[in-house]
Amino acid sequence: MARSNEDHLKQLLLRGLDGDRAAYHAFLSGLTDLLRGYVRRQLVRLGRGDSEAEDIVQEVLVAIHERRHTYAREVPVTAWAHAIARYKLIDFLRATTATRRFVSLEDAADCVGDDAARLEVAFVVRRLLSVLPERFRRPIELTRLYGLSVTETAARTGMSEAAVKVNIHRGIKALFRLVGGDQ
Amino acid sequence: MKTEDLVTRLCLDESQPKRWTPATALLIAVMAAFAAAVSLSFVWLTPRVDLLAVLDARDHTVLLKFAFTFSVVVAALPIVRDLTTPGRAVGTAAIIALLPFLIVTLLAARELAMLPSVELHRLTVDASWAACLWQIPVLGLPAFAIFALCARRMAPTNLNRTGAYIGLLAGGIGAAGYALHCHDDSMVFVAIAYTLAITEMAAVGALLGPRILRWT
Repeated sequence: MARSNEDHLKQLLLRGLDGDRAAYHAFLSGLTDLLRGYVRRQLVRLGRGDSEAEDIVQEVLVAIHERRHTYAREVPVTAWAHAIARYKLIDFLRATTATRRFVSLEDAADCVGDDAARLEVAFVVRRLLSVLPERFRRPIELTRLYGLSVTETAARTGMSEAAVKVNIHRGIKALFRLVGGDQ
Repeated sequence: MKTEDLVTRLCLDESQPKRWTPATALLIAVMAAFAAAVSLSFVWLTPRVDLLAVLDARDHTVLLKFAFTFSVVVAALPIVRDLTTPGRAVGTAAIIALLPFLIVTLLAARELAMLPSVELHRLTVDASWAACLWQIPVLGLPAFAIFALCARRMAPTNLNRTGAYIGLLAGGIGAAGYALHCHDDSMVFVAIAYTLAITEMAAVGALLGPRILRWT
């Protein structure tokens, strides 16, 4: 992890530990990105889907928050966080591998291949969605990525069902314009 | 829950972080562990009758036993501190933790060469081998529990290794408690029996580490 990252995160964490809420928030957010990258890379390397990545990232964040008293100032923040992330990842893998059936090498190779493609698609879709305004993005995410119904989405976002439908439609149109397709 | 929401919630968490850093917590644990081992030794095994006399006479063979057990503890402490602080490279080499055992072996060798065989026979063959091998671990048991609790409050990431060094600490403290009672003052006896008893605890610690030190 880059040097500038280290110094920046360390500043934020130290200020956060002294009671600066905003700095602590920035620290955890900054760390989330690093952790997500680390956990995904490790999962893909092991031939497992990145669908569990977010759960692990959240577990690591909780662990880091609860164990923040173990941070020693002379230790690099990234090394500290990395050690905790690694521990949590191994713990997670231990707890879940026992229940997974045996997968032959050929099947595993297929999975890894699929996974790389799926990861790429997921990445592109997220990038695309991130440029949409919130009112278009949320309904699309909830219905198309998380599989909620229009009614559930309406309840979550506080929009009316009609508004949800209209916004999904408009959002998708905007996406098509973005990638240069015509519809 | 979305990760961003989790981050926000963690920031709103009002609870204070745990107060003690690994180093402070360990020092408190060491004191508690010594107190437990010494009281258990006094109540259960009763101290050797000539304890005050030999301490008063500065009998160096007896003092060496205490020095040995203390140095085992002191050498293992920085390693345990490093192992319970994530991301900290273990600064003290494992060889430092073995140093007390090395020194006591050299002293034992010197004793073998110097003492007349009759005296040596009285000191070693008639000594309380069996008692030493199980009473040191029993005396070290409270210490082991205290250190395990202490480590779980921290964040050890290598549980086997942490367990082994906690066993070493507890073994050293148990041995100090046993030395209050034990009237076998031969270095040959200490080098073999004490070392074996302490090693037992370290091995058990290494085996149990992943089970008892796992934190979530």
